[in-house]
Amino acid sequence: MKGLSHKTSKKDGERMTDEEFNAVALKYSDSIFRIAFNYCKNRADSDDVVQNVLIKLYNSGKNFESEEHIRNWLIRVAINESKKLLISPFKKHAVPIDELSDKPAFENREQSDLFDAVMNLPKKYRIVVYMYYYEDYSVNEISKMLGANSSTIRTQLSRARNRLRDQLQGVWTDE
Amino acid sequence: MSNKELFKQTFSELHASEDKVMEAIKMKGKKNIKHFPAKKIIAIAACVGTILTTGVVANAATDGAIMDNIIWFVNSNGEKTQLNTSTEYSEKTGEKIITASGEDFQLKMGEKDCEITVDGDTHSYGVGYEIDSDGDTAGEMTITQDPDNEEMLDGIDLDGYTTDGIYKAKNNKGQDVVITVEDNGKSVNCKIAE
Repeated sequence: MKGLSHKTSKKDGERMTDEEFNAVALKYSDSIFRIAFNYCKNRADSDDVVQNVLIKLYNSGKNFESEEHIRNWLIRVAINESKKLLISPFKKHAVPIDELSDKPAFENREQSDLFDAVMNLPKKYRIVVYMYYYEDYSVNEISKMLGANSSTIRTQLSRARNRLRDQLQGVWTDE
Repeated sequence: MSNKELFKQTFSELHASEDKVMEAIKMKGKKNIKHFPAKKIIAIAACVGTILTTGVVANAATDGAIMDNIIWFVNSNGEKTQLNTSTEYSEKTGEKIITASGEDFQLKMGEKDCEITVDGDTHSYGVGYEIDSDGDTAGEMTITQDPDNEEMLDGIDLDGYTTDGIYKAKNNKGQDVVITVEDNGKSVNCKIAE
């Protein structure tokens, strides 16, 4: 990605160029959306989170040192924006996943079952599982990003795996 | 197929709306993110409750359970004040009450947003407090300055409102707690001192 694949010469407070911003927006919007979906469980709110995060990115004036730096920053802000949205007075109620029409149309049953099983996990497990299995973050990295103890994350991951294994017998295997 | 491969295959089906992304690209720079006025007394951070690090578990079913939290405030002179708080849950009334031992500070929270009074000034905050039946992460606390449109101040993203460093405090069990603030205040971790 132009201008962000290495340490930039920008100082903090200096906005990225439009070209840089557009490239980041297109590259990371799906990641932000997936993080948000793991919290919100619906497309409309997740898209709102994507917009909020991208606008924050543009206005942040941060000097990102690497691709990894910008990815971590975006994911952390996506988590915060998702939480913020969930605690707003209008979002206090949860909508069960089976009442949603926002589930992707999966081609095979295994994917569909896994998606349902993950969405039925408690929120705290969903985000940890997602960050570990999809974003490839380590337990220590997740603990830093979520501001939690690594032993807590390890426990959550383990409990989530057990739940997935119980729900998805023959699909989710012991590791 | 490994669990990881299946997981990636499954969740790669989720995509942000192209229209929404393009909308964000078009409106960049047009929306100013509000920042908290520097002169106000502000809440610096509600650290993720030390309950997370002590391993002590309290959940909604634990009627009257008391959990410890540490909340940092900084006033307009830049002076930091640490407040040891305790949280009491009552399953019977559904009330969650957070009180602090500090001066002029009281925070009560039910299902509504709350008001915090510090040094005689009252400010409105939105407070989210998660209590799960599983219990092990009960006690995650988030505080927003304004429930609708202000920055969230919480254990993860403090948005530069605090100074990096290592702070020490005691929880109400008398244990030493080390609070590490890093990355320009964007990362806050509480640990029981070893």
